[in-house]
Formats: sequence, C-alpha cells, structure tokens
Amino acid sequence: MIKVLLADDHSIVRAGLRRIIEESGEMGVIAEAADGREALRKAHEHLPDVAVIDISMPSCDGLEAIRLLRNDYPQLPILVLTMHEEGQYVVRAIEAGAMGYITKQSAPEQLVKAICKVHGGHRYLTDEAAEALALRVAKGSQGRSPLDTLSMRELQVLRRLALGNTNREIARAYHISIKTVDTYRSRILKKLELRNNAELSRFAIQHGLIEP
Amino acid sequence: MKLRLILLVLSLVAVLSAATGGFLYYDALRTDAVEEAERQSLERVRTLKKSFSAFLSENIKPVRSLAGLEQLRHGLAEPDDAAALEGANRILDHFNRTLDTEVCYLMDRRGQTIASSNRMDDDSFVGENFAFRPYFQSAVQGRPATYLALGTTSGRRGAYYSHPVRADDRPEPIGVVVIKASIELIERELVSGQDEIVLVTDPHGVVFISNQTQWLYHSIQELSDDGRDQIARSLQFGEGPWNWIGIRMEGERHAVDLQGNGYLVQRAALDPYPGWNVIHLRSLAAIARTFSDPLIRIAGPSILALCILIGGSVFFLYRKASGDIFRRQAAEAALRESEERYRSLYHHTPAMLHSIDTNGRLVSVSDYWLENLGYTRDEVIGRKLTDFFTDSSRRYAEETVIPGFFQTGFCKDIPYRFVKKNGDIIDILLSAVSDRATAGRPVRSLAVSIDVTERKRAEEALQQAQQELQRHSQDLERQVRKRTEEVTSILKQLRRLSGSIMDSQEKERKAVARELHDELGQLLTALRMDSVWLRDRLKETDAKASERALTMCTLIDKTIDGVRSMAIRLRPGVLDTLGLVDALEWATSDFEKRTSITCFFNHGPAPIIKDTLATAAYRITQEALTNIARHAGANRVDVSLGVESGVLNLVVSDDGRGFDPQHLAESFGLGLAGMRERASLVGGSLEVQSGQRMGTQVRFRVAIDPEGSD
Repeated sequence: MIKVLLADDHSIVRAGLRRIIEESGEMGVIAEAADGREALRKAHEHLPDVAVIDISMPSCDGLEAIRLLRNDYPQLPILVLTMHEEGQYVVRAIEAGAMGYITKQSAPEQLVKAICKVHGGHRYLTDEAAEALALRVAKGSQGRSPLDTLSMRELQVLRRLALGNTNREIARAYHISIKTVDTYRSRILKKLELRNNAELSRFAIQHGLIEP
Repeated sequence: MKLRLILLVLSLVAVLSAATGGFLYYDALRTDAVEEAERQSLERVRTLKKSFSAFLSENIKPVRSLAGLEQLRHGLAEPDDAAALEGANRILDHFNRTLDTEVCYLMDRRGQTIASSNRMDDDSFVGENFAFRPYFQSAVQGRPATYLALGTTSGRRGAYYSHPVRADDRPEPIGVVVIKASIELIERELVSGQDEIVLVTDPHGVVFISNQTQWLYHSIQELSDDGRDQIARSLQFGEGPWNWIGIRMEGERHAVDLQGNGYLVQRAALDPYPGWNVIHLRSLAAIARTFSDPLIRIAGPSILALCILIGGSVFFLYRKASGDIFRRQAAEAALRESEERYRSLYHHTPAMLHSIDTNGRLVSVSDYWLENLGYTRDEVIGRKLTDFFTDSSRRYAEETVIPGFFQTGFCKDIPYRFVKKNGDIIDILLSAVSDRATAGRPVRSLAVSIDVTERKRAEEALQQAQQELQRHSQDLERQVRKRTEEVTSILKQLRRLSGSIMDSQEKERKAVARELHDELGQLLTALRMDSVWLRDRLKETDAKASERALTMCTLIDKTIDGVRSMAIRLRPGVLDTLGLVDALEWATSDFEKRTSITCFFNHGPAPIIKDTLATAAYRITQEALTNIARHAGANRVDVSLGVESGVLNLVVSDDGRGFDPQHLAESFGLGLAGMRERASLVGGSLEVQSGQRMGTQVRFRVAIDPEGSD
C-alpha cells in the first residue's frame, strides 16, 4: 500500500484524483492539502510515500512547495500533476526536484502508473516532457557548450534529427512546415559546423541529447 | 622767356664749375707729381751712391792679394833680372785679364814703373814715373789708397787702387803695385737715364763722371784762379780750363740753367772720397710732362664729350621747358572749363546742395535747394544756414553738429527740419564733407540734404503697425500657450488613462485567464475524471452508456483545449509564473505552429525585470508577431532579447515585404501606435525601421532597474 499525499487547491479535482488512486487498490491517499504550506504540514504529520502536487496553487506555489519538501524529505518522491502542458513548466518542476510530471487531463489513464513509477525511484515523464527536459538539461549542464548557441526549438529539431526522424515527422510533431524544419536543419548544421545527419547524430550523443 | 634765361645761366655756371674743378684737379696732380719726383730723385741718388761706392771699392781686395805675391817682390828685388821682371809682368797680366781692369802695374820705391800689363802697348807705362800721384805717395809710406783721376799717359779716366809691396824682412815697402779700373764702364752702366743728369764731382766741383759728356771736366760753379791753379798742379783732371757748366743752385733742392729751365737737385757724399759728391738733377719740365701727357690724352676727349653733353642737356631741357609751359597753359584752360562745368553741375543737380563757410553762412546753394524751400538765390546767400531751420534744429546744429563738423570734417544723416518760405516744415537728412584749404584748415562745407518727410511719415506708420502686430502676436502667443497647457494636461490625463486602461486590461485578462484556466479547466478535468470513471464502470454492464461516456470524455478534452488556448491568448500563465524568456520561447514556438513562418528566438541570460516591463515586452512582441502574420508575407522572423549595460533590448525583425512608414494600413498603424504607447508607458523607446522589400525591424529599448524588480 503506497501512502499518497495529494496537494491541489481544487477539492473537486482532489476528489476525482482520490477516487482514481484508491480504486487502484495498491495505494491510498493518507492526506490532502489545498496549498503548498498545508502540503508541507501534512507531509510532516503523515510521512507519505509519494507526494502528488499541483504547480499552481495559492499562498505557496507548487514549485516552492517542491523545493521545500525536497529540502525536508530528500527521499520523498514527488509527482507533479498540473493543468499546464508547456514544456517550460516541466523543466522548472524537474529542476525543483520533482520525479514525475503528468497533466491532469491524462490523470485517469496515467496517474496510478506514474505514482508507482516514482515510488519505485524512477522518473515518470510524458514524451513531450521527457524531450523538453533532455534538451534543457543538455543545454544547461555543460558550462560553455556549442549548444548554447541553439534556441530551444533548434535543440528540439536537432534531437529529433539525431533520433532519425524524417522532416515530415518532425514537422507534424511540432506543427510546423516541412520547409521550416529544413531551414532549422541547415541553421543547426551551420551553427555547429557539421556537414550531415550522421555527424549531427554523433554530436547529439556526445552532448547527451540522446542515448547511444 | 624767363625759364630760358635761367637755363642759360645755369649752363654757364655748370661750365665754370667744370673748368675750376679741372684746374684744381690739375694743380693737385702736379704737386703730387713733383713730390713723387723728389722722392724718386732721393731714391735714385742713394742707389747711385751705393753703386759708385761698390764700384770704387771693388779692387781693394785684389790689389792686396796682388801685393802679397812673391813674383812682384822678386821683380822689385832684382830689377835687372829679366826673368824676374817677366814673372812680375805675367802676374800683372793674369790679374788684369781676370779682373777685367784697364791696367795693372808695379812701381819701385822712386815711383818708376818697372812692370806693367800694358808694356806692349803704345802708351806703355814702363819707365814712366808716377811719384807725383797721391795714391803712390800714400802707398810708399805703407798705406793702401784709392784715387780717381784722368790718366796722364793714357788720357783715360780711371780709379786707381794702390798697395805697398814689402820684402819679407823689411817693414818699409820696396815698391807699389797699382790696379787701374776704367770709369767709362761704370759710367755707361749706372748713368743711363734720359730725364736725369748725374754728376760726380770732386771737392772743387769738377765733374769727373756724368751722363752729360759735354760737361766732363767742367765745374758746377765758377772757379777762382786759386782753385784753378790747385787743380792744374795736381794733374788730376788734365789741363783745364774747367769752365762752369752754367747751372746755378738756388737753395739745396733747386737749380736753374742759363735758359731758365728749372731742375730738381739731390746730392749725396761719396763716402770713400772725402769731398766728392754724387749730384742728381731732374728737369722740372720733364716731370711736368710725365703727368701732363697722359692727362691731356685722357682729359681731351672727356672735356669734348662733357661740352657736347652740356650742350645737349641745355637743348633738351629747353625743349622740355617749352612743352611744359604749353601744357600748363592748356591745363589752366581745362581747369577753368571744369570749374565752370562743376558750378553748372552743382546748381543743376536735382538734389538739395549747399555750402557754408566757417561762420555758418551760406556761400552757395543748388537750384533744387532753392526750389524746395521756395527762396531765390539772393535771399539766401550770405545768410546763416540755421536761419532756415526750426528752433530745435537750430539749437542742435549750433551747439552740437557744426562745431563737431569743422573738427572731424564730415557728418552723415543728421536729421534736421527746414522751414520753407511759406512756413511749411520738411524733414531732411543732412550729410556733409568739409572742403579744406591747402593748409588743411576747413574753409567751407559741401552738404547734401535729402527730403525724408514722406519717408518719415511712412516709418511712423510702419512702426505703429508693427507695435499693433506685436501686441496681437503676444495675445496669440498667450492663447496658444494656454491651449497648449490645456492640451498637454489632457494628454497627460489621457496617457494616465491609457496606462490605467492597459493596466486594468492586463489585470482583467490575467484574472479571466486564471479563472478560465484554473477554475474552469480544473472543473473540466474533474469532470473528465468522472466521465472516464463512468466509462470504465459501465464498460462491463452497459456498453452503450460506456461509449456515451467516452464521447463525453472526448468532448471534455476538446473543451479543455479550447479553454486553455483561450486563457493563454488572454495572458499566458508562463509570463507570470516563469518569466519573460519562457513566455517568449512559448510565444515564438506557438507563432511558428500557428503560422508556419519560421521563428527564431535568441536570448542572453534571463534578465530580472519588473512585471510591467515584462508585460510590455511580451505584448510588443505579440503585436509585432501579429503584424508580421497579417501583413509582412515573411518567411522568417527573428526575435532576440538581450540586456546590455542595464538596457533591455528586444528586437523583432522579419524578411517580409516591409512597408513605407508614410502609408500604413489602419490596423497596422493602430498596432504600431499601441506598441509605442506600451513602450512609452514603461519609459522605453520603440523604433520601427522598414522599407519596401527590406523587411521590418521593431526595436524596443528600455532601461531596467534591477533593484525595483517585482
């Protein structure tokens, strides 16, 4: 039985989530909190196995709450559950110390799986979130890197190209035109002084953008 | 006529001066020449004396050598031994030849000649007795001697050098040896000058050597009978009669001959012969010739040339003077004519001209002056100028202008008022210069007056109009200032209003977006959870209802997407929670997604900036991107954000068709105005650069205040 702390400022949402969690039979909500501060207090009182936290909450926002929880309970896995789909939030949440990130929309399908995963000490991220994180980490981790010269979108395209995606696939994934993808590609090659996709793949592996 | 006389006198004076100058010059030259000649004579006489002295001592040493020779002693000791005499004769011959003398001979103690170099000649001395000769008498007593005399045997003049010949064991001489040298040679050599007369005289004054052979054995003075006897007795100079040469000494330096010719005299004692003299005479006429000849040769043509020059000059000057006189007469006529013309010009010039003397009285006026003031000339000439002035003008003129004028010599544009004969008053401007006498003292003025009555009236009117205008313009300015203040205050209010409207709009949007996203969105997600639950629950029991729940779920998903996108367009939550860089990153990728226009976002380190600044930057970017999507037809957009020395720099540029800033589409212009408004509300600036087919660049710059970030 996994003990879950649920922090969300909407009681209806909390109720929905609680039902999803408890119906799984493997875990139970031992405490609920309506904001960051309360989440801290409840964590202190109940010592949960996993904390599920919304990012946008009043009084003490989710990111701050994550940082504080990580500080007090370094071993406590935190799963972020949020309305926000934007990659920028994912990066901030992981930077703050979250182990997983899912949207509320996908909660019925993924929440239980995600809790299990983070409880097992693994990351849980959607594809988009994983990608955003990989790029940001790659860009931010290595001091002065050639990656610094690339924009976020260029990094995305670089990663996809390195993974072997076609221009069409990339265009579809980011809702941009094939021509734009091509423009990005030539821009990336020029910036990194590379000649072709093979060199581009090697570069991506070297800089930790993709697994070898 | 007078001028010609003057010229004549002047030329005479010139000739006279030239003559006097010439004479004085000649005299000076002559004196110089005489002095020079005296100096030369002195020099000459010294040279002669030295030469004679040298000549007369020439054979003293040879005769001593000769006297010491053994052969002569032998000859004297053995007078009868022919071999001994021959030996003596050979020695004498050898000496005579070597020394180039006239004769060498040997005498015994009695004066008898026993051997001689001329023993073979007709006038041989051998056997002759010369005991009477002083040179013998001296030598036989042991003293060598020299002597000048005319030979008694040869009849030729000579210098005799005698020396005693002694035997080895006896002090008294056993004979005398004599060398006689010819005088003629030295006479020819030394006394060669033409202008000069050289005389060598004995103590009696008898000429023994001279270049004037006719005077030889004559005396330079009348001899007394006593003197004549003495000379005859000595047999020194033949038999006489030693007449006077006819030149009388006058003082030490001058002499005159019987014809009256003057001579310059220098004399010097011939030292080896006491009482003998060297006398040098030089003809004064010859001296005069030495300088007058070249003078006449040079001066003759010069004097002729001078005469011609003077004559020519007189002629030329005479011609010149005649021309000058003619020209002067013509000039006087022209001057008279010019004066007449000037007077006519003065009177008829259509300007008010007048002249006053130093007393201020009118001496002349022009016709126009009279015409303007209505007077006749007789009424004004001789009257004071100030009589025609108004009282105030008169005071001004007499106290200030006129005294100053006669000092400085001019005045310009002095405003006066004239009173016409009919009593009218006219305004004039008077300018004048003073006419000066040759001494520089002003004698009268030349003045011109310009009638400015009309002009003055016009000026007054103009001035009045200008004052009026100024008053109006001041009024106008005041009103404009007032209106400007009003408008400015309204503008300020409007600006405030616009700021607050924007502010509240942002707040409103933020609130609505939050409401939509957080409240409605959350509710919808909760609803979705329920519908999923329903679907799962009914899957087994009621497949139809489960399907319905799935449809509901899909519908809810769509609704959530719609709500989210609505909220995000109103105001992206990223901007508030994550900041400007993340917001722009999202906005540019969203733009790319929506428009298919490639959009690059570049940024430096994320700046910490105020919320209002971030909002402004975000909205400006959003507006610029909207404009690009609507109007630019661009393929590519570059958004860059950076901070440089405290200034936030946001640039949005595209490669689209650009626009002419003068002709903007209304919506585009409004968008631009909105951007500007936002920029100025946060104290920043917005520049838009664009041109046909050059793309557009929007640049927003604002100073950030890192302290006050909120």
